[in-house]
Amino acid sequence: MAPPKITYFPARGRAELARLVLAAAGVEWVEEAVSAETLPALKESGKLAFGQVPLYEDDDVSLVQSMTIARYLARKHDLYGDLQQGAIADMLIDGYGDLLNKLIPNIFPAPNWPALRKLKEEVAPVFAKQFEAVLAQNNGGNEYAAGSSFSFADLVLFSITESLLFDLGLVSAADYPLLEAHYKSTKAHENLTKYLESDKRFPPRKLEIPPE
Amino acid sequence: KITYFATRGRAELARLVLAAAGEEWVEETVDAESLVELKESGKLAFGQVPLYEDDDISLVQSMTIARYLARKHGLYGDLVQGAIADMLIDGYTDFMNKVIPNIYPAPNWAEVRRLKAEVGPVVAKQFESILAQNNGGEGYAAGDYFSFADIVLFSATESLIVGLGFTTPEDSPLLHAHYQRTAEQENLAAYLTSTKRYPGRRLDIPVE
Repeated sequence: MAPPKITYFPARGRAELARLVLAAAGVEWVEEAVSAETLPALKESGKLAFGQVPLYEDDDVSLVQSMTIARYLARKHDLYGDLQQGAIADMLIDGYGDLLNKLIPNIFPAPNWPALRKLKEEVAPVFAKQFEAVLAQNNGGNEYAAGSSFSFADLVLFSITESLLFDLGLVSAADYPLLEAHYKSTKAHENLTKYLESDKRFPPRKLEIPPE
Repeated sequence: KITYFATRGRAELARLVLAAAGEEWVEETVDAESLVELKESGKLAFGQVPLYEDDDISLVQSMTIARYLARKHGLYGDLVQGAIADMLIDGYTDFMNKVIPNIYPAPNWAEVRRLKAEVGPVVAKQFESILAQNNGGEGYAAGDYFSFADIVLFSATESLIVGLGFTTPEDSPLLHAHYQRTAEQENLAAYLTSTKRYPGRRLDIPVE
């Protein structure tokens, strides 16, 4: 059986949640890097159902759409949890997707600093509060994102917190103690720690909004 | 209970799942005024409808609700069927996120025309290819039995052909045939022909 393969840019980006799921499940995988130059050939091959990467391939299936891949892997490796845990994971993914859809057009292809400053001040805190409220609804937010066991919902929330607080720096950890604590405890999850500390993991892209 | 505007919109996929599962549900209608109060109640995790409530859970995010219901009522199918359903939802959502801001709150007809001419046919081909990969596109959207993937594709095709008019039965024969077959699924047929279903909105692009 060939190991599963992720084809994407050599970056965290939209592939990272799928990687976190594989890591948490203790599954090895292969990375195939594409670049602006090699991407057109891949598109022409017909392998990309919507003309985009990431692409995921294993012995059973070939998939695109970053969140489809993450969900498939969570389901395949029994990380979705029960109905409720799964719904919380989905809700967090959808909410985060909404936020990224506001952010990303202002970062690529070229940063729109005034728009980003506005998003940082007016929009990001609203989302961060909403995410923290979802967490808080589960046992006061002191343990898992949903239910009483580690699940996909924890990986999704980890990914959101890492981006919002640390990589994009859109809100400060001090203002969201529950999110920060959840981030730290998820980091300590055995299989994740190995991946997070390995050089297999691509470095983060930090967003530094220059002062006006 | 589904709480939403009195329209198909983003709640319709969840309704189709409930209908396909043979489940009854209650509709609670909001409008611009009552929505404000609902937001202040704290019931809307991201400040938006639809809201879904049953004895076990309270959920927002239209696609989360649809997925939850599909899972709860045994419609997600196997791993591959589930992945195809998810892929169709994601691809369709990406496309609608390009379209909707050019229709609401105020239409940008020039951009809508461009999307219809340049993007709609590409997307329709992409969906048709996905369908064609399963038994030549003459059966189910995925696998060998009816599943959530069929409901998602039905909904997408209905928008593309009927609602938006971005493709035609002639240009997307497989999609259209799948759409017609799925409309005949016993439980769905009852809902689709009932007065419970809100009327669809057609996009009437004014002539240049």
